Amino acid sequence: MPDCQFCKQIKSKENMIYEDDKAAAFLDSSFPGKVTIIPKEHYPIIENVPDFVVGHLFIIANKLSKALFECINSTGTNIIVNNGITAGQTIPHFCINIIPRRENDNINLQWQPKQLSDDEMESAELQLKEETKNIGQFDKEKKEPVKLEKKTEKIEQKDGEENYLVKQLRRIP
Amino acid sequence: MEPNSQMTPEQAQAMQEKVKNMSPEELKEFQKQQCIFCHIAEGKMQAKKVYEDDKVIAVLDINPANAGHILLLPKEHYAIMPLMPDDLISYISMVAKALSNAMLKALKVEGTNIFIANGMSAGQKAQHFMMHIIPRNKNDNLPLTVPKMAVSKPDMEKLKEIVTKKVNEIFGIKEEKPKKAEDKEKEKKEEKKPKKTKQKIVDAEFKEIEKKIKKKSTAKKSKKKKEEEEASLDDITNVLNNL
Repeated sequence: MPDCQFCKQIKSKENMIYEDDKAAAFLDSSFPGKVTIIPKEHYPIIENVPDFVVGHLFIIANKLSKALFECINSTGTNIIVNNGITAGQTIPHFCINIIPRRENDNINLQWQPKQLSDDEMESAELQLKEETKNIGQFDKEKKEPVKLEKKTEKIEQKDGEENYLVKQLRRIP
Repeated sequence: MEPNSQMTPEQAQAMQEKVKNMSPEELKEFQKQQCIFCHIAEGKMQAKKVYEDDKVIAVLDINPANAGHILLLPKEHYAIMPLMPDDLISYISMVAKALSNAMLKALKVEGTNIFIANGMSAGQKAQHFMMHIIPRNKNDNLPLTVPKMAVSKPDMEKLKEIVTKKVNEIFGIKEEKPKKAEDKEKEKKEEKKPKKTKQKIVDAEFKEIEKKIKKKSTAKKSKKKKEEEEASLDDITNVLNNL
Protein backbone atom coordinates (compact mmCIF):
# COMPACT_ATOMS: atom_id res chain seq x y z
CA MET A 1 0.00 0.00 0.00
CA PRO A 2 1.62 3.30 -1.06
CA ASP A 3 0.06 5.46 1.68
CA CYS A 4 0.72 3.11 4.58
CA GLN A 5 3.35 4.34 7.04
CA PHE A 6 4.56 0.83 7.82
CA CYS A 7 4.81 -0.20 4.16
CA LYS A 8 7.00 2.88 3.59
CA GLN A 9 9.13 2.04 6.61
CA ILE A 10 9.75 -1.48 5.26
CA LYS A 11 11.24 0.09 2.14
CA SER A 12 13.24 2.78 3.95
CA LYS A 13 14.45 0.33 6.66
CA GLU A 14 14.46 3.13 9.23
CA ASN A 15 15.25 1.79 12.72
CA MET A 16 14.98 -1.79 11.44
CA ILE A 17 16.38 -4.43 13.78
CA TYR A 18 15.24 -7.65 12.08
CA GLU A 19 14.02 -8.72 8.67
CA ASP A 20 13.13 -11.96 6.87
CA ASP A 21 10.95 -12.96 3.92
CA LYS A 22 7.63 -12.58 5.79
CA ALA A 23 8.19 -10.04 8.58
CA ALA A 24 10.14 -6.98 9.69
CA ALA A 25 10.78 -5.52 13.15
CA PHE A 26 11.54 -1.89 14.08
CA LEU A 27 12.41 0.11 17.14
CA ASP A 28 9.66 2.63 17.89
CA SER A 29 10.73 6.14 18.87
CA SER A 30 7.54 6.72 20.88
CA PHE A 31 8.83 4.64 23.82
CA PRO A 32 12.38 3.54 24.76
CA GLY A 33 12.95 -0.10 23.82
CA LYS A 34 9.53 -0.59 22.24
CA VAL A 35 9.62 -2.96 19.27
CA THR A 36 6.99 -3.21 16.52
CA ILE A 37 6.74 -6.34 14.39
CA ILE A 38 4.80 -6.24 11.12
CA PRO A 39 4.14 -8.59 8.21
CA LYS A 40 5.78 -7.42 4.96
CA GLU A 41 2.49 -7.86 3.10
CA HIS A 42 -0.16 -5.26 3.89
CA TYR A 43 -2.95 -6.66 6.10
CA PRO A 44 -5.18 -4.24 8.09
CA ILE A 45 -6.24 -6.54 10.98
CA ILE A 46 -5.38 -9.98 12.30
CA GLU A 47 -8.40 -11.56 10.62
CA ASN A 48 -6.87 -10.81 7.19
CA VAL A 49 -3.44 -12.22 8.03
CA PRO A 50 -2.91 -15.86 6.91
CA ASP A 51 -2.58 -18.28 9.84
CA PHE A 52 0.98 -19.36 9.11
CA VAL A 53 2.09 -15.70 9.00
CA VAL A 54 0.45 -15.06 12.40
CA GLY A 55 2.31 -18.06 13.85
CA HIS A 56 5.61 -16.86 12.36
CA LEU A 57 5.10 -13.30 13.71
CA PHE A 58 4.48 -14.54 17.25
CA ILE A 59 7.56 -16.78 17.17
CA ILE A 60 9.63 -13.72 16.21
CA ALA A 61 7.88 -11.67 18.93
CA ASN A 62 8.93 -14.29 21.47
CA LYS A 63 12.58 -14.23 20.36
CA LEU A 64 12.69 -10.43 20.28
CA SER A 65 11.23 -10.23 23.78
CA LYS A 66 14.02 -12.63 24.88
CA ALA A 67 16.52 -10.21 23.30
CA LEU A 68 15.00 -7.29 25.23
CA PHE A 69 15.16 -9.31 28.49
CA GLU A 70 18.89 -9.79 27.94
CA CYS A 71 20.22 -6.60 26.41
CA ILE A 72 18.35 -3.73 28.06
CA ASN A 73 17.84 -5.32 31.48
CA SER A 74 14.09 -5.47 31.38
CA THR A 75 12.51 -7.78 33.95
CA GLY A 76 9.33 -8.30 31.96
CA THR A 77 7.71 -7.69 28.58
CA ASN A 78 4.19 -6.97 27.42
CA ILE A 79 3.07 -8.11 24.00
CA ILE A 80 0.03 -6.19 22.78
CA VAL A 81 -2.00 -6.40 19.59
CA ASN A 82 -4.47 -3.59 18.87
CA ASN A 83 -7.08 -4.96 16.49
CA GLY A 84 -9.39 -2.22 15.30
CA ILE A 85 -9.75 1.51 16.04
CA THR A 86 -11.79 0.88 19.21
CA ALA A 87 -8.92 -1.29 20.44
CA GLY A 88 -6.43 1.54 19.96
CA GLN A 89 -5.10 0.73 16.47
CA THR A 90 -3.67 3.88 14.88
CA ILE A 91 -2.09 2.55 11.66
CA PRO A 92 -4.21 0.26 9.44
CA HIS A 93 -1.41 -2.32 9.06
CA PHE A 94 -1.41 -5.26 11.45
CA CYS A 95 1.36 -5.02 14.08
CA ILE A 96 2.52 -6.65 17.29
CA ASN A 97 3.96 -4.30 19.94
CA ILE A 98 6.54 -5.44 22.49
CA ILE A 99 7.01 -3.18 25.49
CA PRO A 100 9.93 -3.79 27.89
CA ARG A 101 8.97 -3.46 31.53
CA ARG A 102 10.83 -2.91 34.79
CA GLU A 103 9.62 -2.80 38.36
CA ASN A 104 8.23 0.59 39.41
CA ASP A 105 8.31 1.99 35.88
CA ASN A 106 5.01 3.85 36.41
CA ILE A 107 3.27 2.23 33.47
CA ASN A 108 -0.21 1.01 34.18
CA LEU A 109 -1.73 -1.48 31.73
CA GLN A 110 -3.96 -3.13 34.32
CA TRP A 111 -7.72 -2.87 33.95
CA GLN A 112 -10.29 -2.66 36.70
CA PRO A 113 -12.13 -6.00 36.72
CA LYS A 114 -15.84 -5.72 36.15
CA GLN A 115 -18.33 -7.52 38.31
CA LEU A 116 -20.70 -9.14 35.84
CA SER A 117 -23.85 -10.98 36.71
CA ASP A 118 -24.14 -14.72 36.12
CA ASP A 119 -26.59 -14.10 33.25
CA GLU A 120 -24.18 -11.84 31.44
CA MET A 121 -21.38 -14.36 31.84
CA GLU A 122 -23.55 -17.23 30.62
CA SER A 123 -24.87 -15.41 27.56
CA ALA A 124 -21.32 -14.42 26.58
CA GLU A 125 -20.22 -18.05 27.00
CA LEU A 126 -23.03 -19.40 24.82
CA GLN A 127 -22.55 -16.80 22.10
CA LEU A 128 -18.85 -17.51 21.90
CA LYS A 129 -19.31 -21.29 21.90
CA GLU A 130 -21.56 -20.99 18.82
CA GLU A 131 -18.78 -19.32 16.85
CA THR A 132 -15.86 -21.37 18.16
CA LYS A 133 -17.47 -24.56 16.81
CA ASN A 134 -16.34 -23.36 13.38
CA ILE A 135 -12.66 -23.28 14.36
CA GLY A 136 -11.10 -25.95 12.21
CA GLN A 137 -7.82 -26.39 10.39
CA PHE A 138 -5.38 -23.56 10.03
CA ASP A 139 -3.89 -22.28 6.75
CA LYS A 140 -0.51 -23.73 5.99
CA GLU A 141 2.14 -22.14 3.82
CA LYS A 142 1.79 -23.33 0.22
CA LYS A 143 5.08 -24.66 -1.05
CA GLU A 144 5.62 -24.78 -4.81
CA PRO A 145 5.58 -28.38 -6.07
CA VAL A 146 8.89 -29.73 -7.33
CA LYS A 147 8.76 -30.17 -11.11
CA LEU A 148 10.12 -33.50 -12.25
CA GLU A 149 11.33 -33.57 -15.82
CA LYS A 150 10.73 -36.79 -17.71
CA LYS A 151 13.97 -37.80 -19.30
CA THR A 152 13.95 -40.40 -21.99
CA GLU A 153 17.37 -41.37 -23.23
CA LYS A 154 17.63 -41.86 -26.94
CA ILE A 155 19.83 -44.69 -27.94
CA GLU A 156 22.17 -43.42 -30.61
CA GLN A 157 23.31 -45.93 -33.17
CA LYS A 158 26.49 -45.32 -35.05
CA ASP A 159 26.87 -46.85 -38.50
CA GLY A 160 28.62 -50.17 -38.44
CA GLU A 161 28.57 -50.35 -34.66
CA GLU A 162 25.84 -51.59 -32.46
CA ASN A 163 25.11 -49.72 -29.25
CA TYR A 164 26.03 -51.83 -26.24
CA LEU A 165 22.53 -51.40 -24.82
CA VAL A 166 20.95 -52.82 -27.95
CA LYS A 167 23.48 -55.68 -27.81
CA GLN A 168 22.31 -56.47 -24.29
CA LEU A 169 18.73 -56.75 -25.51
CA ARG A 170 19.69 -59.18 -28.23
CA ARG A 171 21.54 -61.50 -25.90
CA ILE A 172 19.95 -64.89 -25.86
CA PRO A 173 19.60 -66.03 -22.24
CA MET B 1 -3.00 -17.00 43.22
CA GLU B 2 -1.46 -15.66 46.48
CA PRO B 3 -0.36 -18.52 48.68
CA ASN B 4 1.75 -16.23 50.87
CA SER B 5 -1.28 -14.42 52.24
CA GLN B 6 -2.66 -17.65 53.63
CA MET B 7 0.56 -18.75 55.36
CA THR B 8 2.37 -17.46 58.45
CA PRO B 9 5.70 -15.67 57.82
CA GLU B 10 7.62 -18.68 59.15
CA GLN B 11 5.78 -21.04 56.80
CA ALA B 12 6.40 -18.68 53.88
CA GLN B 13 10.13 -18.58 54.66
CA ALA B 14 10.31 -22.36 54.90
CA MET B 15 8.52 -22.63 51.54
CA GLN B 16 10.97 -20.18 49.91
CA GLU B 17 13.96 -22.16 51.12
CA LYS B 18 12.42 -25.39 49.84
CA VAL B 19 11.84 -23.82 46.41
CA LYS B 20 15.46 -22.55 46.21
CA ASN B 21 16.85 -26.04 46.54
CA MET B 22 14.65 -27.60 43.87
CA SER B 23 15.82 -28.65 40.40
CA PRO B 24 13.98 -27.14 37.36
CA GLU B 25 11.93 -30.32 36.87
CA GLU B 26 10.96 -30.45 40.54
CA LEU B 27 10.10 -26.77 40.42
CA LYS B 28 7.83 -27.32 37.40
CA GLU B 29 6.04 -30.18 39.16
CA PHE B 30 5.65 -28.04 42.27
CA GLN B 31 4.21 -25.15 40.25
CA LYS B 32 1.84 -27.54 38.47
CA GLN B 33 0.45 -28.80 41.75
CA GLN B 34 -0.20 -25.24 42.93
CA CYS B 35 -1.47 -23.97 39.57
CA ILE B 36 -5.19 -23.22 39.28
CA PHE B 37 -5.01 -23.18 35.50
CA CYS B 38 -3.46 -26.65 35.33
CA HIS B 39 -6.38 -27.84 37.47
CA ILE B 40 -8.81 -26.17 35.04
CA ALA B 41 -7.04 -27.73 32.03
CA GLU B 42 -7.24 -31.16 33.66
CA GLY B 43 -10.92 -30.65 34.48
CA LYS B 44 -10.35 -30.69 38.23
CA MET B 45 -11.69 -27.17 38.60
CA GLN B 46 -14.79 -25.63 37.05
CA ALA B 47 -14.61 -22.85 34.50
CA LYS B 48 -16.65 -21.51 31.59
CA LYS B 49 -14.90 -23.17 28.62
CA VAL B 50 -15.41 -21.66 25.19
CA TYR B 51 -12.86 -23.72 23.22
CA GLU B 52 -10.76 -26.78 23.87
CA ASP B 53 -8.52 -29.13 21.91
CA ASP B 54 -5.59 -31.42 22.74
CA LYS B 55 -3.05 -28.57 23.11
CA VAL B 56 -4.88 -25.48 24.37
CA ILE B 57 -7.95 -24.42 26.33
CA ALA B 58 -9.88 -21.12 26.34
CA VAL B 59 -12.01 -20.02 29.30
CA LEU B 60 -13.85 -16.88 30.36
CA ASP B 61 -11.99 -14.71 32.88
CA ILE B 62 -13.84 -14.43 36.20
CA ASN B 63 -12.41 -10.92 36.61
CA PRO B 64 -13.03 -9.61 33.10
CA ALA B 65 -12.13 -6.26 31.59
CA ASN B 66 -15.25 -6.56 29.43
CA ALA B 67 -17.97 -9.19 29.01
CA GLY B 68 -16.54 -12.05 26.97
CA HIS B 69 -12.89 -11.59 28.09
CA ILE B 70 -11.14 -14.89 27.17
CA LEU B 71 -8.05 -16.48 28.70
CA LEU B 72 -6.28 -18.75 26.20
CA LEU B 73 -3.68 -21.07 27.72
CA PRO B 74 -1.65 -24.14 26.78
CA LYS B 75 -2.64 -27.32 28.60
CA GLU B 76 1.04 -28.04 29.31
CA HIS B 77 2.42 -25.93 32.17
CA TYR B 78 4.78 -23.12 31.04
CA ALA B 79 5.39 -20.14 33.33
CA ILE B 80 6.39 -17.62 30.64
CA MET B 81 6.53 -17.39 26.86
CA PRO B 82 10.33 -17.79 26.42
CA LEU B 83 10.03 -21.29 27.94
CA MET B 84 7.52 -22.43 25.31
CA PRO B 85 8.54 -24.32 22.14
CA ASP B 86 8.13 -22.47 18.82
CA ASP B 87 5.54 -24.83 17.35
CA LEU B 88 3.27 -24.38 20.37
CA ILE B 89 3.63 -20.58 20.19
CA SER B 90 2.72 -20.71 16.50
CA TYR B 91 -0.30 -22.94 17.20
CA ILE B 92 -1.65 -20.93 20.13
CA SER B 93 -1.35 -17.67 18.18
CA MET B 94 -3.38 -19.17 15.32
CA VAL B 95 -6.07 -20.15 17.84
CA ALA B 96 -5.94 -16.61 19.28
CA LYS B 97 -6.60 -15.22 15.80
CA ALA B 98 -9.57 -17.58 15.36
CA LEU B 99 -10.96 -16.64 18.80
CA SER B 100 -10.62 -12.92 18.06
CA ASN B 101 -12.58 -13.51 14.83
CA ALA B 102 -15.22 -15.50 16.71
CA MET B 103 -15.47 -12.72 19.29
CA LEU B 104 -16.09 -10.07 16.60
CA LYS B 105 -18.93 -12.16 15.14
CA ALA B 106 -20.48 -13.49 18.36
CA LEU B 107 -20.37 -10.41 20.58
CA LYS B 108 -20.66 -7.89 17.73
CA VAL B 109 -17.86 -5.73 19.03
CA GLU B 110 -15.72 -3.47 16.86
CA GLY B 111 -12.27 -4.36 18.11
CA THR B 112 -10.24 -6.82 20.14
CA ASN B 113 -6.98 -6.69 22.05
CA ILE B 114 -4.54 -9.56 22.44
CA PHE B 115 -2.48 -9.02 25.59
CA ILE B 116 0.40 -11.08 26.99
CA ALA B 117 2.19 -10.35 30.28
CA ASN B 118 5.62 -11.97 30.68
CA GLY B 119 6.89 -11.53 34.23
CA MET B 120 5.54 -9.93 37.39
CA SER B 121 6.77 -6.44 36.44
CA ALA B 122 4.65 -6.75 33.27
CA GLY B 123 1.53 -7.55 35.29
CA GLN B 124 1.59 -11.36 35.16
CA LYS B 125 -0.53 -12.58 38.04
CA ALA B 126 -0.52 -16.37 37.61
CA GLN B 127 2.44 -18.70 37.08
CA HIS B 128 0.91 -20.15 33.90
CA PHE B 129 1.39 -18.56 30.47
CA MET B 130 -1.82 -17.19 28.99
CA MET B 131 -3.02 -14.86 26.25
CA HIS B 132 -5.81 -12.42 27.08
CA ILE B 133 -8.30 -11.81 24.27
CA ILE B 134 -10.35 -8.77 25.23
CA PRO B 135 -13.40 -7.43 23.36
CA ARG B 136 -13.48 -3.64 23.02
CA ASN B 137 -16.32 -1.14 22.76
CA LYS B 138 -16.20 2.56 22.01
CA ASN B 139 -15.20 4.67 25.01
CA ASP B 140 -14.76 1.76 27.38
CA ASN B 141 -11.58 3.47 28.67
CA LEU B 142 -9.48 0.39 29.16
CA PRO B 143 -5.80 1.25 29.83
CA LEU B 144 -4.52 -1.00 27.03
CA THR B 145 -2.95 1.78 24.99
CA VAL B 146 0.79 1.71 24.51
CA PRO B 147 2.51 4.29 26.75
CA LYS B 148 4.37 7.22 25.17
CA MET B 149 7.74 8.61 26.19
CA ALA B 150 9.70 10.32 23.39
CA VAL B 151 13.21 9.03 22.66
CA SER B 152 16.00 11.31 21.38
CA LYS B 153 17.88 10.44 18.15
CA PRO B 154 21.23 9.66 19.80
CA ASP B 155 19.47 7.33 22.27
CA MET B 156 17.67 5.63 19.38
CA GLU B 157 20.99 5.05 17.60
CA LYS B 158 22.48 3.48 20.74
CA LEU B 159 19.43 1.30 21.31
CA LYS B 160 19.43 0.19 17.70
CA GLU B 161 23.07 -0.89 17.92
CA ILE B 162 22.62 -2.82 21.18
CA VAL B 163 19.38 -4.49 20.20
CA THR B 164 20.45 -5.41 16.64
CA LYS B 165 23.60 -7.09 18.00
CA LYS B 166 21.57 -9.19 20.43
CA VAL B 167 18.94 -10.03 17.83
CA ASN B 168 21.62 -11.21 15.36
CA GLU B 169 23.11 -13.35 18.15
CA ILE B 170 19.76 -14.97 18.92
CA PHE B 171 18.83 -15.56 15.27
CA GLY B 172 22.37 -16.56 14.28
CA ILE B 173 22.68 -13.80 11.66
CA LYS B 174 26.23 -12.76 10.67
CA GLU B 175 26.70 -9.01 10.48
CA GLU B 176 27.82 -7.59 7.12
CA LYS B 177 29.47 -4.21 7.55
CA PRO B 178 27.90 -1.78 5.08
CA LYS B 179 30.42 -0.30 2.64
CA LYS B 180 31.06 3.37 3.23
CA ALA B 181 31.04 5.79 0.32
CA GLU B 182 34.80 6.41 0.83
CA ASP B 183 35.58 2.67 0.65
CA LYS B 184 33.50 2.33 -2.52
CA GLU B 185 35.43 5.17 -4.16
CA LYS B 186 38.74 3.59 -3.14
CA GLU B 187 37.69 0.29 -4.69
CA LYS B 188 36.84 2.04 -7.95
CA LYS B 189 40.22 3.77 -8.03
CA GLU B 190 42.06 0.52 -7.39
CA GLU B 191 40.21 -1.15 -10.26
CA LYS B 192 41.39 1.56 -12.65
CA LYS B 193 45.02 1.72 -11.40
CA PRO B 194 46.42 -1.64 -12.55
CA LYS B 195 45.35 -0.99 -16.18
CA LYS B 196 47.22 2.30 -16.23
CA THR B 197 50.42 0.91 -14.74
CA LYS B 198 50.33 -2.03 -17.19
CA GLN B 199 49.96 0.36 -20.07
CA LYS B 200 52.79 2.41 -18.74
CA ILE B 201 55.05 -0.60 -18.47
CA VAL B 202 54.28 -1.61 -22.05
CA ASP B 203 54.87 1.92 -23.29
CA ALA B 204 58.17 2.13 -21.44
CA GLU B 205 59.34 -1.14 -22.97
CA PHE B 206 58.51 0.10 -26.45
CA LYS B 207 60.44 3.25 -25.87
CA GLU B 208 63.49 1.31 -24.75
CA ILE B 209 63.33 -0.89 -27.82
CA GLU B 210 63.02 2.19 -30.03
CA LYS B 211 66.03 3.73 -28.38
CA LYS B 212 68.08 0.62 -28.98
CA ILE B 213 67.09 0.54 -32.62
CA LYS B 214 68.01 4.19 -32.98
CA LYS B 215 71.35 3.64 -31.31
CA LYS B 216 72.19 0.79 -33.66
CA SER B 217 71.17 2.75 -36.71
CA THR B 218 73.18 5.80 -35.63
CA ALA B 219 76.16 3.56 -34.83
CA LYS B 220 75.96 2.06 -38.35
CA LYS B 221 75.71 5.48 -39.92
CA SER B 222 78.73 6.74 -38.03
CA LYS B 223 80.75 3.70 -39.16
CA LYS B 224 79.88 4.32 -42.78
CA LYS B 225 80.81 7.94 -42.51
CA LYS B 226 84.17 7.07 -41.04
CA GLU B 227 84.83 4.58 -43.77
CA GLU B 228 83.90 7.16 -46.40
CA GLU B 229 86.12 9.76 -44.83
CA GLU B 230 89.02 7.37 -44.64
CA ALA B 231 88.53 6.49 -48.30
CA SER B 232 88.54 10.10 -49.36
CA LEU B 233 91.69 10.82 -47.35
CA ASP B 234 93.49 7.90 -49.04
CA ASP B 235 92.56 9.28 -52.45
CA ILE B 236 93.93 12.68 -51.57
CA THR B 237 97.26 11.24 -50.28
CA ASN B 238 97.59 9.16 -53.45
CA VAL B 239 97.07 12.20 -55.57
CA LEU B 240 99.63 14.18 -53.59
CA ASN B 241 102.23 11.38 -53.88
CA ASN B 242 101.82 11.28 -57.62
CA LEU B 243 102.69 15.00 -58.08
